[in-house]
Amino acid sequence: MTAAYRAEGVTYRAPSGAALVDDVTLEAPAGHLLALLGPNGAGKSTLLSLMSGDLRASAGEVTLSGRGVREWPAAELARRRAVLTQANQMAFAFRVRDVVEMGRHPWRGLATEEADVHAVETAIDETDIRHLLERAFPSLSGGEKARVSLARVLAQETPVMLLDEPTAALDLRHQEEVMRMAREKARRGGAVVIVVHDLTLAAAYADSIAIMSRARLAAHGAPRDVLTPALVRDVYGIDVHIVDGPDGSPLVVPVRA
Amino acid sequence: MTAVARLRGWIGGTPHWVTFVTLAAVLAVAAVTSAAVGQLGVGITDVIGALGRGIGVDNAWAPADEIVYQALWQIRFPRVAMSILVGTALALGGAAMQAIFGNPLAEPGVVGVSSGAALGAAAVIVTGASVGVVGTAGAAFAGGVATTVLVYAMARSQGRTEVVTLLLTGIAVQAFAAAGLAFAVFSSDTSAREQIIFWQLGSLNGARWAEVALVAGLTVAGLACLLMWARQYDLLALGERTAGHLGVRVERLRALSIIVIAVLTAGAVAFAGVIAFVGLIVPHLMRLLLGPSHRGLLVASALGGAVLLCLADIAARTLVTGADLPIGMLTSLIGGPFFFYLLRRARRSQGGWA
Repeated sequence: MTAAYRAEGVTYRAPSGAALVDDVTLEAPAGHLLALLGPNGAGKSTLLSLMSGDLRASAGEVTLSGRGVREWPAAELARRRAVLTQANQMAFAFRVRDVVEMGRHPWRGLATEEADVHAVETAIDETDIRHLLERAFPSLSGGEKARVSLARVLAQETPVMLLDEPTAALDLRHQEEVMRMAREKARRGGAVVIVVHDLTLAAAYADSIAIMSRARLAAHGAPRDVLTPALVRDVYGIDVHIVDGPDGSPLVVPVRA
Repeated sequence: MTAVARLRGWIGGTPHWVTFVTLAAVLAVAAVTSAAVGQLGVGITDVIGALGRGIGVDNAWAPADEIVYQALWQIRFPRVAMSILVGTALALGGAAMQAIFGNPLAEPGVVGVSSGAALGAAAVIVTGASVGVVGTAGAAFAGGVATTVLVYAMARSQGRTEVVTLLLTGIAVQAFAAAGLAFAVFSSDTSAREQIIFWQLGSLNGARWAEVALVAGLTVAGLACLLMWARQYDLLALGERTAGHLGVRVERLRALSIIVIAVLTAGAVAFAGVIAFVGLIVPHLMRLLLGPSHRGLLVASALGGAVLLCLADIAARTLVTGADLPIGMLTSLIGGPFFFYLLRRARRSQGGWA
């Protein structure tokens, strides 16, 4: 396995001096779906920002295909990794189709028109947004916006995808579809890092999960090995049962009095 | 159904060039009309004939009277050309400003171009350092560009610019410029005071070909730059982080754009005085007609700004017989209520513009 992404002892200190990510070493290999979990404020989004190249690590290094992520030229980086952020903002009333097509920007002048059309149409189908194409983006619901943004990220056709809570605003069916799509993308050789909050969902789809707690990496490995009641209590401060689901993947159920 | 919505329904689906051609046609009619109206009555055909003869096409419509011909070419035409260029430059500056900050409330005036230019002009008028009109214009241009760059530089922090910080910095710097202006007015004699006041009111009176050529050069260069960046402006609507993820070097694009915006706006303000609201209203209106995509929006704004100022200049010379009203006063008179209408409308349809 080639390591698409590698974070080596990465630390990020906010201007106030507090370490938001503290000495994290993590790999996101090609063909692999990595779920990043952890309580609110544990540093997941910051780690993702370090991996995407938005933030400069205070210590350690993030490499993409062996090269420092911030050393890649902006346009080339945009053809290698796509990022879905939590904010689905849009300043002006662009149509949904325009938004998805924006994902093709890094390929301008490099891809054929057929390739552009194919990428956009595939992304539209994979995220189930064909009925929204003529709508203005700001008029969509939260979940619809999330799916359109995801379609934009897919249209970018990068070997690496960093998705920050793509399932947060989605209904049950679309949550499952997004996770299935992410796993499918990994099966075809992509490296996908996905931040989710639902432990059961992560356990069902991810090849490995990494759990962050107070800026540090608390555990990293196959879902079945990592998810234990002791770890969950330690990280989230809540008692859980972990039982086998009907399909064999673990279900994490809080202990309810 | 509002008039704008009806208009949009009518245009909806038609390619952008229909709008461009319509605007260009309106502009041509407005320009010829503008050259025809004034104290010296000139027919529409005289204007067209004089234009033809001026560019080397001798024709029957050309005015027989040499004085009419000279009046058109020496006084009317440069003024019409200046109104078109100033309108174009102001509208482009506004469209680009809204694009780089992803905020429809952004306008070059907000970051202090006008105040800086006014201060620059006043300083030259008071100290008597000016050598004719060009001295005042040069100082106004320098003041406008300097203020914009100053506001932008002060609003930046750790390589990023926040819109709210920028707007608030603009307010602070404008207050400072207003104090300087107040001092200039206070300490000057009556004639200089009058000059400062009238400069601020804005006028296209006395535009000369040399000045027109200068503003034309700045405007065309500015338009070329902005069109080149139009696609990146579209991506900026996704937010600066996401635009960055798509390969846009956001801060570099913003810094370069700010320079272009400052030059466009300060160039216009330097020769025409403070003309408010064009940069705010025109891009808005064009966005309602064409949607937010910046390639079409920039071209339409350039044309729309030209039309608006050309019409405003006609109004300035005809509303009160024998008087040349300040054009900045007119655009604000129309722009204020129109902006209010836009705000109400945006609030109704999309819950405001936070």
